[in-house]
Amino acid sequence: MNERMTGQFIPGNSVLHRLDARAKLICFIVLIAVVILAHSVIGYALVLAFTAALIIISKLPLSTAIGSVKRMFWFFVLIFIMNALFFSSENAIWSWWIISLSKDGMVQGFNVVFRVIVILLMANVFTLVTPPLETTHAIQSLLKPLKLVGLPADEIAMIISVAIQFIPTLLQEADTVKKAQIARGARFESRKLHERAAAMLPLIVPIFLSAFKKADELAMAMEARGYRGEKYRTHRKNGAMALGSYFAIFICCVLCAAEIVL
Amino acid sequence: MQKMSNVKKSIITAVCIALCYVIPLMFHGIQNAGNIFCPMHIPVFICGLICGWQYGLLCGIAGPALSSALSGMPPVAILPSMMVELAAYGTAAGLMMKLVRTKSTYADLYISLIVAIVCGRVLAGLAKALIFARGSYSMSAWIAGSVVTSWPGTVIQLVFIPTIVFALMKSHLIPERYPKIED
Amino acid sequence: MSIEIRSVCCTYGSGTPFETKALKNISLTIEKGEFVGIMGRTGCGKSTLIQAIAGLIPISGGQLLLDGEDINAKSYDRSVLRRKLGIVFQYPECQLFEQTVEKDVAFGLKHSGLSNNEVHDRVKWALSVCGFDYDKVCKLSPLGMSGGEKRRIAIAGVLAVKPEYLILDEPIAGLDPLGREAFLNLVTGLNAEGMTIIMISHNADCMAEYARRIIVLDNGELVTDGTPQELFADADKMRALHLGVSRSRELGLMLTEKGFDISPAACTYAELFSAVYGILKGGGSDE
Repeated sequence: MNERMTGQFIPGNSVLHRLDARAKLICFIVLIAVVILAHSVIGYALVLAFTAALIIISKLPLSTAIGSVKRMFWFFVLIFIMNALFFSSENAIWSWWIISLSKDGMVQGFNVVFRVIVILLMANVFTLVTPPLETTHAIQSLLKPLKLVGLPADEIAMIISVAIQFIPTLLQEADTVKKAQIARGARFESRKLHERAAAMLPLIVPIFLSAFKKADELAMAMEARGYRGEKYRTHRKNGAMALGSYFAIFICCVLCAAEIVL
Repeated sequence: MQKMSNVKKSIITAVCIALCYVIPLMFHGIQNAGNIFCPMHIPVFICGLICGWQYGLLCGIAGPALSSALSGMPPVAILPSMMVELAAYGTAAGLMMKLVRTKSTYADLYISLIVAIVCGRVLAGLAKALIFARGSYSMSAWIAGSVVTSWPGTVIQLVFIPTIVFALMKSHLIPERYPKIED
Repeated sequence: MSIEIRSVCCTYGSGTPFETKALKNISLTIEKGEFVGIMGRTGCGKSTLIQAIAGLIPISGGQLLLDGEDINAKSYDRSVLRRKLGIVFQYPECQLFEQTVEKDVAFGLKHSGLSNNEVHDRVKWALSVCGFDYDKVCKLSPLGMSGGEKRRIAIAGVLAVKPEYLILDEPIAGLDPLGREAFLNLVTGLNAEGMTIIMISHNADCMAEYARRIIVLDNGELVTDGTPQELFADADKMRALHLGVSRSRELGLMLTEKGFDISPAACTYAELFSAVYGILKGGGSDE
């Protein structure tokens, strides 16, 4: 579990690494829209080509960039089968009870799996080239406009950044709890479903207890130092984005428009 | 559970969001635990039940999003429907805890949990119908998906969540819902 | 009957830019019945070493033998390891989860194949060793107890398995002086009954007084291995390792500086006392 402490980030010096995290996040959101909007063969080809270009620009080793996708192979097979079998269509090839195998279903299955894989690849590239902390700051600054609609954006940003700061400690804690229970004789390898479920309790109760204990300590320390809420605090201003960032967002928007047309 | 300050509720929410990422990782060693037992749902329910609906809502949205950003699980493609589901859990659990007061903490917890689970499953089904397959997602597939694949998760939630809440109360980490009057 | 550590290496995050070697070629043997202390500054690999011994983390090289059997061999039955070796982590109170003390202490015995009566006896024994009255506490919730009580319940949970080897990671951190002494006496008692003790501590005093052999790790390597007397005699080296010496040895050094003849091997209170007593008595007879 220690290997995941830093998220997936791999330091580097590519264009994607240097791009403003806010721009990357906006691009990422636009690209998700691109993938969902794609609906023709040319559209799919374009999406695939763009994803490949991203991986090349990022200078990441190919095995790292597609690693997590490969690991989820059976998940994709499952999604495909679910869609192929449970898609209600008039011209079924074969059907029994609520199950019906159809061509439409298989096309639907392919569409879903394709989208999942491409979005996953993009998400992979995003997390590999962006340090988690920069992602949080980007989320925080992108949440700012929510204040206009009356949402407590600062409060939310504070909660999210505290959540991220808690992650390494809690991972450590989770690791220790797990090792301690294994050392005491807890077993997780049972084949029976209910035994595997029961094996979770010795892990989940202690991790909640220590997490809440840490929350209690932090809340007390914050109140003791006179913290009353985000609206009483002053914040440092984030700098404006560079020209290159706007250019990256522009490219993604063009792609998005292209997918609607194609 | 009215006595907690807003600062404390905020921090508890932050911890629950972090747990949405940490707890599924913890169960890596247990075969298929991530798929069948839905461990990520638990912190969201706990947050809603303890802190109230606003916090539960935030946890339901931010928890899976953060986990997805850091570890790629859940995959971005199923993230939206999962966020709808978890946001519904957190919100419904919080609202029910406010509305239901039977003088028994156990009864309150179970009623709130069951209502929240039903709300979440229904909303997730609708969200999947809208996002995943754009209208073509059939009713039978939804029933198959939410009942067949998630019953172990439901059982786990009904057994574990009250246990966790009571453990937290016993450890004096959250206030008792119906404090005993000292003699 | 021993724990044999044969040129064990341990690497975290191998193949990534964050690769660190936590243990570098460690070899040592811990005989049955010993009371071994492990010292070293934060991050030196002490915790990694004990977790490797307990089979909780994979090793990247070398062999770990428990009573002659390789614990990382494919054919090895890990339940034997769990039965023979108990480990008490830092802040063990964090592992409590059951509704009653009785259930929590009995958790490790679940898969032991013991009868209910035997389990009951074990739980009763472990609780009494840890200073509890079984009838008073068995039905209480461990979660509602005080910090010190929780820790003793958690330790009872490890002892209930009656391990032959007991590993303790910073067991006295956060205990008050009385609790500390009571705890160390408990451990010494177990050792006297034949249980092998391996204890990590930063506390030089406690190491000098209780451990019969001390192993010092630094930066993943074995630096020294010897009796507390040998170790604390070289005060400069201990200070260079950021570990310091026991207070008795510190006082002995100050007296030596003032011209008194105190043996550098006097590192416990009793040894210092007899050395000073010898000088005072000797000095008295001169006059």
